[in-house]
Amino acid sequence: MEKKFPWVAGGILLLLALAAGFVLVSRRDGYLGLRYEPPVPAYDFFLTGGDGGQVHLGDFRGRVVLLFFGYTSCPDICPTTLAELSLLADELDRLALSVQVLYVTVDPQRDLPDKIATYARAFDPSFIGLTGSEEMLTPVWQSYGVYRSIDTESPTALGYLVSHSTRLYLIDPQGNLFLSYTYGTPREDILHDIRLLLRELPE
Amino acid sequence: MKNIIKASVSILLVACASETGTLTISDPWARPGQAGGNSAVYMTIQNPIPVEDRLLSASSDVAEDVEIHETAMTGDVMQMAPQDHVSIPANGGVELLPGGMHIMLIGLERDLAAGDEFTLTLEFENAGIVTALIKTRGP
Repeated sequence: MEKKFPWVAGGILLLLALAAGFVLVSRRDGYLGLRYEPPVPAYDFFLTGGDGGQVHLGDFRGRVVLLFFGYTSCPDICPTTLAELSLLADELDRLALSVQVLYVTVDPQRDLPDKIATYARAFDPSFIGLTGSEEMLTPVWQSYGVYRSIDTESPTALGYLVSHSTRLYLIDPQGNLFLSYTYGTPREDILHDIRLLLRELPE
Repeated sequence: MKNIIKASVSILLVACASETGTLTISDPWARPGQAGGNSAVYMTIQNPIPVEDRLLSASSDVAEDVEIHETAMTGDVMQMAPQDHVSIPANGGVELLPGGMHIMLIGLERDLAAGDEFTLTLEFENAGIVTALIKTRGP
């Protein structure tokens, strides 16, 4: 019986060490979004902005980029998310200049440069709406794992609907795909993560 | 006698079913939108009578077309599906909310800015025509 004691004590110590390690890891990993571990370089792209000029993702290096995919005919999920992001932009306060929201279309046929740019700006003057040819957009959709499917079967005056994934991507100032969020994530969570990332909150 | 009871029961049912103005529509609001674009209307509809009702269609002079749609989420993917009607359960209610059932305004005739109001005409199977004043709410 006594011989077993060192094993039991060793087991308890091991459990304590694991628990301590877990606490340390979860403290370091205090982000609320889903983390890319390790962060991967965000797929770099050139797309078309409102004035017809090229917008380069790499130009936003040094800032946090919130990347969302949708389309301007989308009446529900897309405006709900963009409206949340516009409230977030207000709450960012002095961090606002360190964050850029990009809204990339999944419907290039209807979303011409001026249309998606005006649409994005209506939520916040700083938001950038982007489109391009299907050839330009396809690798972007694929790289971020964006699912899109044109539905021409449903009877609607819109002509067709686009089913699409609704994840929001956060790219860190170093240009890495760092976090993502599901639809309906409270904006407080995103705000928390941005503050943590920009070292406004203690880790 | 049996027939008389039957007859009065059916009259009673018809009276209930055709009663108008029994539905309560609360907090109807729409998202801002741009002329030529789209928007969505949300609201809560309460049906206090013991007969199910159905929202069959809606129309408004602010949009070329008005349709009833439901957003469904499968994992991360959202899919919109036009609906033939919205059921409003007897002694119950239904909520039209972002991410769920909504009334879609297609082809806005003019800009809708926060604070703007417009009239939406709703057609119910039992309650008939009900008009609601919709408030546009930002952002």
